[in-house]
Formats: sequence, C-alpha cells, structure tokens
Amino acid sequence: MKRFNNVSLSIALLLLVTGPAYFSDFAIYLFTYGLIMAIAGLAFNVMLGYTGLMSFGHGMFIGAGAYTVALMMKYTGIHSFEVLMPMGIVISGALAAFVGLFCTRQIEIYFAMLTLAFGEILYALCSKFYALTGGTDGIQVKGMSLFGYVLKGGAEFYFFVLGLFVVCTLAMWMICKSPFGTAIQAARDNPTRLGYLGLVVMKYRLIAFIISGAFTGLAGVLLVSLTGHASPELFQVLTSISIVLMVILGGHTSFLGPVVGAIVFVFLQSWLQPLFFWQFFLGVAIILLVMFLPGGVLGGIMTWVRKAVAKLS
Amino acid sequence: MGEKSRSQVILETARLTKHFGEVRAVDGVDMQISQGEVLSIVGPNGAGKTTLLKVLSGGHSIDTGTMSFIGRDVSHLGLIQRARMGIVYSFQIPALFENLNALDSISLTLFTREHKTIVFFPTTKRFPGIRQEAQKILKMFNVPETTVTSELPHGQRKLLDVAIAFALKPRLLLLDEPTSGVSTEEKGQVMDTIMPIIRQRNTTAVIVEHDMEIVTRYSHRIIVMDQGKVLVQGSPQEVMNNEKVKEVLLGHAPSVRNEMATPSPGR
Repeated sequence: MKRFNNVSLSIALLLLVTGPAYFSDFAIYLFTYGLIMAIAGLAFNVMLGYTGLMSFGHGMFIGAGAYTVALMMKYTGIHSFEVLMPMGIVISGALAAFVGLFCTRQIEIYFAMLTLAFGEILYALCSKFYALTGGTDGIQVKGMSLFGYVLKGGAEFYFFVLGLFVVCTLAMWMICKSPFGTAIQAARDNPTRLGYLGLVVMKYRLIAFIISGAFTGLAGVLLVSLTGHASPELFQVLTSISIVLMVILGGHTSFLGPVVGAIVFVFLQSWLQPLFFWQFFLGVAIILLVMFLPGGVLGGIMTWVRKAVAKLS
Repeated sequence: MGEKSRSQVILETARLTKHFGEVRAVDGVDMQISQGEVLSIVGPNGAGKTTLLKVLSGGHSIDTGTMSFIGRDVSHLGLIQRARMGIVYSFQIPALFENLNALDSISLTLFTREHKTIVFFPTTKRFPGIRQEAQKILKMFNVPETTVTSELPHGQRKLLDVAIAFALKPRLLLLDEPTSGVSTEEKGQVMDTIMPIIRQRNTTAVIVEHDMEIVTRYSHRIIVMDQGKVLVQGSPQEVMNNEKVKEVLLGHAPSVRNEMATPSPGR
C-alpha cells in the first residue's frame, strides 16, 4: 500500500513536471489555476479535516492576498514577487489572527457563520472604498518579476506555481504530522479532554486558523498574478464556497484530497462552462459524491485500491 | 488520619461544597490525601462521588469551602491550571481522541507534558524519546499501538483513558470508575493492569469505584460517601466492619449488594 502510494505520487509529480511539453496553452493555464487552488484547498483542509472547523470565509484570505499585491503595485509600484509574496502571506496571516480571535471561540455552524460574515464585511468594504480599491471595477495586476526577471505567462509561470505548490504541500504535510498537528486533531476529536490535559483548545484553533489563512493568502497572491485582475468578489462567499466544494469533491479525510479536488474542479468547470447552466451539473456531481463517495474522489480511489491490494495479496 | 500524619499530605479540603440547584451533591467534605496513597471513594448511586472527583479536578467549580494542593490554595484555579499542577482526571466514560491511534494519543500527552505541543517540525515519528516512552506506557497498559481508538474494545478504551492521564506523570491521579461498563470477568484484568503501575510509580490516586471487592483489595484507605457527606473513613477493614457502612451500602443500594455478594470469578 505504501509502495503504491509512493509510485502514484511519483507518476503524478512527473506528469506535472513534464506537462508543459505536451499540454496545450489552455491546459497549462488550467493546471496553473488548479495548483493555486490546490494550495488554498490544502490550507482550508488544515481547518476542516484536521482542526474540525468548517470555514465559509476562506475567500477573504484569497482576497487579502490578491489585494495586497494589487494595492502595493498600484501605490508603491513594487512588482517583485520576492516582496509581494511575503507581504501577502503576512497580511493574510494577520487578518486570520484578528478574525480568528472572534471565530475560534465558536465551533460548528457558529464558526462557519462568523467566518462567512467577516468575508462579506470585507467584500462590502472593498467594493465601497472606491477611491482606494477601485470599487467593483477592481485593480489590474501585471508585469510581475522575480529577482528582476519578468515572468512570462504560460509555462514559466506554471513552473513557478508548481515549485511553490510543492513547497507548500510539504510544509503543510509537516505541520499536520508534527506535534502541533496531533494537538489540533485531538482538539477536533475531543476538545473537552484536551482541557483536562491542561491545554487551552482555543489557542490551537487560532494558530491553525492563522496558518490556514496565511497559505490561502499565498494562493490569493498567485491567483491574481495568473488572472491579472483583483476584484472584490474574491473576498465573497462564492469564492469561499468553491474552495469548500473542491475539498469535499477531492475528500477532506485524506491529506492530498484537496489537491485532487481542486484540479478536478477546475477542469470540470472549464468543460461544463459552455453549457450555460453548468452549476446544475456541478450540483448533481456534488450530491452524488456526498451520497455515494463521502470520502471524496481520492477517498474513493484509495478505498478501491485498498480492496484490490487485499484481493491480490 | 492520625496514622497517616507521618507521611506528607499533598491535598487537603475543608468544608468543600458543590450544589446543583437544590441538590447538595458535595456537602461539606473534609478530606486529606498523602503522597503515594491510594484512596477509594465508595457510596450508593447519587452519593456525590463523581461530583467530588470533578470538583477536585477543577472540572466543576467549588461553591464554598477550600482546597489546597502541595501547600497552595487552589480553590479558585480552573481545570487547566490544576491539570498543569499535576491533578489529572480520568473519565468514567472514556474521553478519547477517536480518530487517532493509541500511540498518537499517548504521544500527544507526552508532548503536552514536555511543553512541545506548539512545535511544527519535525513529524511526531522523529521524536524517538517520546515515541519510545509512549510505546512503553502502552505496553504496560496492554493497549495495541496502531488500532484507531474508535475501534478498540471497551476494556481497552478504559485502559487507554487511564493511560492518557497516567502519561502526564500526575502528582494526583483521579480515576472515575475505572471498571464501569466492563464485564465482570474483565474487571479484575483492568484493575490488575492499572493498580500495579500505580503502586510501582508510587502515584497518589483517588479512585471512585462501585465494586467493594476491588476497593478493599487495592486501597490504603476508603472514604464512604452518602448524600454528599463523608459518612466514614478509614482502612479497608475498619470501613467494612462499620455498622453504618453496612447499612448504607447494603440498605439502599442493591447494585452494590449484588457486587459484594458475588465476588468476581477467576480469582
């Protein structure tokens, strides 16, 4: 089983690395988009899968990352990733710390509603402060550079995102398997008992939320660099819900489920979009999935493989 | 308490009271526990045993009265501060981390004890000291390492709950009915696993227990509670021969009488 995992991981990574050699430009764009959303999905799942808290407001961190880039570019003229990226991460993390102070006191539906409310507040602020943010028109973003080198779109940017995706995945994997990762899983399973061990549960939820927000902010930085446009909708519930859907689609019970979910979601969206009611099919797909494959796509595949391996041996 | 005065008293309560509305669950309890002592609390259902244990742990706040622990007034300290001082509670209904396995559950407790829970690097497997200690504890308690907690049988769940508390190296271990819900045959096994560990480590423990045979066998001292008050306290022999105790335990607690009449088989 472990060998199967390693082999399939290597194949997937090989495909991603060699992809640009035979993908169309459009497929490269979709993969770039998918990998960016995969970072957000993994970060979201630090909350849902590991801490056991469902956020309906992760769009606010996408927005925070995106607007950090857009505003800094507009008002300071800085175009370099090596400045914008850390700024995006720090500002999203700080936003998560502030919002988390209110939200992580709550659990379940109360946590979900509070995160949703904060996302909507930021959306409203961003659309109304026309003078600063350009309101609903948003802000154009282009000409990003990395250590003085202006990144071209397409394959170059794809590899940049792929590299960051790998780094983020490893970092979040490490966090989830670390002592802290064990503590948040314990907080998910039995917060009462954690108190009886002398730990303050809220502290762990808050730190997890900051980590999750910071990584999602990075996804926001990359997303706005890919699309070239920051708009207030990024903060909004629709962005948050699509992250939720990606993670549920891929499977929140396995670490890499969100990655599979994000890529599948992005491709499904692009194939189905020509049909003007593509959300209908997405809805049907989600319903079928929740009913018949509660572990998501990856969870389903893993169960199937486990059965096959058991049969063979 | 005269016979115990030679050893060091680590916990002392004075007129400890906890009311729930009109119910006086704990009503003016004075008690002392000495270092290394195993003290059992018995009494009919509703006598206030579990409430007393939760009040000691900080899980319930104190209404009136005082409690001092290793020379410090802890009456107003909450659950978390008392746990950090070494008063650790183990649950009657196992309170476990259902999706973790036993090894991770114990490792988490050890990380807590070592103040390493806010550590992001490296993975838990790469703390060999913690891992070996966790494995050793699970071996002592006879709980398999890698089975997911939710799939453990009830007896092992009870043991894991005690093991989690024990791994914190408590100065005072509070065990709430370690054998409740366990079949009569298994009761002996559970206690024969837990008690030698407690003895060997010289752990101070307060145990709430129904089964009088177990209580007399394993404790240094017994407190009999009834309606929130301490009825009698003393050595197992003194308590078992006390007329008042016989009346309370045999008089209106049929479950206790049954357990006393039929000692656990196999021993």
